[in-house]
Amino acid sequence: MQSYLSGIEDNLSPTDYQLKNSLITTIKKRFHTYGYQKTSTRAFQGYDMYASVIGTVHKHNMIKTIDPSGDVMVLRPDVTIPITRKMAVKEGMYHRLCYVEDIFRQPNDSSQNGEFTQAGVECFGENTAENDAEMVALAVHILQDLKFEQFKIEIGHAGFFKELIDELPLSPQESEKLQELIQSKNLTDIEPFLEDLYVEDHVVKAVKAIPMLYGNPQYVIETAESIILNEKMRETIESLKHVYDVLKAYEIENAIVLDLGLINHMDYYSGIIFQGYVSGYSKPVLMGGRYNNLAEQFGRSMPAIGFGCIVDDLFHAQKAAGKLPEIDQSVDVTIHYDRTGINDALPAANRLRESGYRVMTQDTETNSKTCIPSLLTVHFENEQSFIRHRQKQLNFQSADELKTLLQQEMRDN
Amino acid sequence: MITLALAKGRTADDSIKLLEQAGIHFDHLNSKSRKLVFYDTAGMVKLIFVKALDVPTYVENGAADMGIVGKDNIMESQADIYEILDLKLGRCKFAVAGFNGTHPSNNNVLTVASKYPAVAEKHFHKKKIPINTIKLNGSVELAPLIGLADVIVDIVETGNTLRENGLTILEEMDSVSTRLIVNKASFTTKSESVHKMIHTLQTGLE
Repeated sequence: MQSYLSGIEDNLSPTDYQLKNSLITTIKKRFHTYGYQKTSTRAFQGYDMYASVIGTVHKHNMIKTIDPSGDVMVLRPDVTIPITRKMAVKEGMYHRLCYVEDIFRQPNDSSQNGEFTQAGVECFGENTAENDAEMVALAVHILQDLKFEQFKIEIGHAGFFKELIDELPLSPQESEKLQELIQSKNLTDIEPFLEDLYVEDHVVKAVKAIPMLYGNPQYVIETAESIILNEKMRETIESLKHVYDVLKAYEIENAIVLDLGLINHMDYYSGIIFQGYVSGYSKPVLMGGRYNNLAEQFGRSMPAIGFGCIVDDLFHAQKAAGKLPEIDQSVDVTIHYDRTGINDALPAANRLRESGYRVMTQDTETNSKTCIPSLLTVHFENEQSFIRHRQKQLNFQSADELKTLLQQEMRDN
Repeated sequence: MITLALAKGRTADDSIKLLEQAGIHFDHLNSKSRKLVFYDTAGMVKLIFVKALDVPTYVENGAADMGIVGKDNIMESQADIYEILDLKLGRCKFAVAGFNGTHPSNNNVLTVASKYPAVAEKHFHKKKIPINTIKLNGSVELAPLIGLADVIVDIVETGNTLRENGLTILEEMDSVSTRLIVNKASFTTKSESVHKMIHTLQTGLE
């Protein structure tokens, strides 16, 4: 039996499950208010689709299986790619889609969970600063809905780093190394790394500046402008500036930091990228960005932007912050009956259920002790029928009378 | 309040001295003490002492906002953190060491003993030399002597221990020194106090 016990701590308790569900409901409602419609993808996806798309989940991180015809399938390691493919292949699809799906990744070690829930949106066909900013605003809106008081959205740009390393004579291994150094803001080791490359001084200066292009957007944009090396980088900064202006109109600039050293491990991003942190939680709770070139890989050019909330992390962060709502675990009515009352009690229970009350029934003669609390109790016992509520006893004769009494009592509650 | 994880051992005393220099004072702080948690007199920093290799783990998971730890342990843990400052303490070097003249032969897979198996694997992988790693927790120099491994990968300060055991450095690898690391979320959500702390240490270094 021992083996069944390992991993049991991953299972949510019923209360936690309710809480996670209500969190998902909150997010979905917010998605809808921005015009998104729900879609879904299949859990089993073709391995070839993921393997052929450049810059996606690493093949080691996918959980693979084989279908009866011998094709390799993977358990959905990402939702954006199948949704993008569907958009690219089918004509006339609604272009604002949201989803809540489980994602599967091969865990690095046995202590990690290979399955997590992601709730996200994808918006196709628009490619403006307004659209970028609206995405960020939606992310902020969700964190507000979830009652987080302190949070930050870090915004970077996938293009900035790529355009900069175009100026450097790097092998793939070296550019991976440089990416690592920038991601860890490791200025100590960037310097000797660049010295070995014999590049011009102003390029060295620009690369060294990137990790610290972080913080207040105004400051970051001004500093970034001073190290621009080519026209593309200038355009990138211009577009970030524009996005920031729209964010100011949304009045959410206080929740924003710019980080031009931000690099997402998903290589398909082409424009702004962002991730959200909430105070007191050590991992990002949402991430996303613009990926204008992904649909092209499925044969159709179509700009797109999206982000995903990592529901499990949001849930743990809410728990850590003590922001979880109370879950009502009681029912409205418990009906107690004995052998003389059974023929009245069970039909009465069903009538109340049809009116929307939450009803439990209990045979007083069997000793079963269900412990679900209820607001009031109804009794069909010793040939009598009555409601008991707050030390009061109210008798009734018919099912209609019971319903009227209940309505009164519930209103007073 | 910022939680700072400090590596026990080799560099603990020097790190404490550096914090004092930067104006962060702790009462009754002593690395020999068995107490593991200390608060600074200004009430800004909570200092926790943890095993060196655990410092990056504490910081990556947000159990500490910042950490002071050797580059050797950062490399071994492969933690996803910011590595902000070189505190220039405890400088040494990673090296491959063994008996003079040991070469990875073409026929046999090289056996490498190390306290840093991830570092060793990465190094030889880059050189396309297949190896078997044996993880040891101390007295690594012993491994080649008694035939447990062909070579070792370890940090070398003076080289005395190697020499006394008849081993030599076969290849020098990355340099190591003590670093200030920061949790990525704390860097963003506690940015004011974190940046102040970075700045304080930076001035302490100068």
